[in-house]
Amino acid sequence: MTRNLEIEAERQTLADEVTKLFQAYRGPLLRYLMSLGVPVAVGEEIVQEVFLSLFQHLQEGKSRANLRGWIFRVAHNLALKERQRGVRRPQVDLDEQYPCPAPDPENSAAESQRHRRLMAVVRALPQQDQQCLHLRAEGLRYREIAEVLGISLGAVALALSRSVLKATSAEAVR
Amino acid sequence: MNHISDAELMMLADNELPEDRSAEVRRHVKDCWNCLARQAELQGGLAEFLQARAGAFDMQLSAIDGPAALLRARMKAVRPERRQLPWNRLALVAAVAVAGFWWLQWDIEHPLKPDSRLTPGATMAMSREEVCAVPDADEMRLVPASMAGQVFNSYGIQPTPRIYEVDYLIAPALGGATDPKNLWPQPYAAGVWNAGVKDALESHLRDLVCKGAIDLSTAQREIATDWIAAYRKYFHTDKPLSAHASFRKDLPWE
Ligand SMILES: [Zn+2]
Repeated sequence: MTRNLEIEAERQTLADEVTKLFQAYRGPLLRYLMSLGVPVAVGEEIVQEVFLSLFQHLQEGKSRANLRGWIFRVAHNLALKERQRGVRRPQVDLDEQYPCPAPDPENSAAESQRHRRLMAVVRALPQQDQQCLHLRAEGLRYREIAEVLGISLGAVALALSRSVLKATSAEAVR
Repeated sequence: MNHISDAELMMLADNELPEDRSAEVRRHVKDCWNCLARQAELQGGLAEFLQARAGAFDMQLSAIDGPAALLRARMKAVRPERRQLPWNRLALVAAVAVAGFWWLQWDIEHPLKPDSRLTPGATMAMSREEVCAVPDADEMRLVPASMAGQVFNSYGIQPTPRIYEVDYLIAPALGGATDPKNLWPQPYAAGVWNAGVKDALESHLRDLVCKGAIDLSTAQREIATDWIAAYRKYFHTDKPLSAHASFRKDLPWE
């Protein structure tokens, strides 16, 4: 009987921990998923699935090393699977995916136009370069990005430097 | 003096360089207008992207309370894991022990070469310039843990701390891809043709490629076909040079 109570208390603690992580990473994950072209509603479902898997992962006593990288990797893989499953669905137009920036009184019109053009250049980059940029933007370390995408650390550094230069120099030419 | 590559300047800006290399790069950049200008461009470009992206994603997410409550309810519904039966685990341990023993035997009788069916080698689509722009550092060679597990699995080996490293057949510093087809478990200590010796060969080949003495594709092919033969050829020796036996670059598998 006491054993059962202990197990229940353990589950409670884990659920609390996972909820805290959910609160911290739901926004960043949703943004990353949208940058991959996943619609918000599907993104919410994927995020749920990620944290349910995390709950099970921790319940089985598996590694707690680099949980942030783990969370993003699982989300990334689920998004790819979703995309394969979604071939028959009407393709989501990426241009419509990114919502237009709301007019911001602090930003001049010229600046927000420049930003829109920059994001358009980013959308034209190779998939993996875009993914590196968006993961970096969510604050992941290169080591974590490498783990999420299954590439080497050097490839991450190369992709980031290459695409930052491409995005901003293409921007300046216009 | 060689300039610092964009990739390394990016790492510097993001605080991603190992400490000693970071100090070196800073010293160079302080006195080099070329690198200083590129560093500013990279740093400014990244900042601009971050700003533009923040604007693009500045949307109203629905309140978190609903999704959080849904997650809690779903976690509650997950049935507690049933503990694995002990005999199950014993069978697994026995299988692993047999595999480990087989590997030891194999290791004594054969020089260390990857299984060409499991590890034929794989490269990234990179030019010589790109390959030479990425720093040749230990950090670059980290294999994602999930992929390392896959490699050990395909070779039927239990990952053993500080005995094996998962090594690249064609090193990333030579354009090798992080792909199970290009990875194999290499024991650290066994024999004279050990991991340190192969690392020494990789460093040497990279120097030759970046100096323009040999083609990148030649270096990749020779190391993938028979690295020991390549070592003998490029160092003009039958046995590994003594300085190379303790050449150590990679982190032990942990
Ligand atoms: Zn310089």
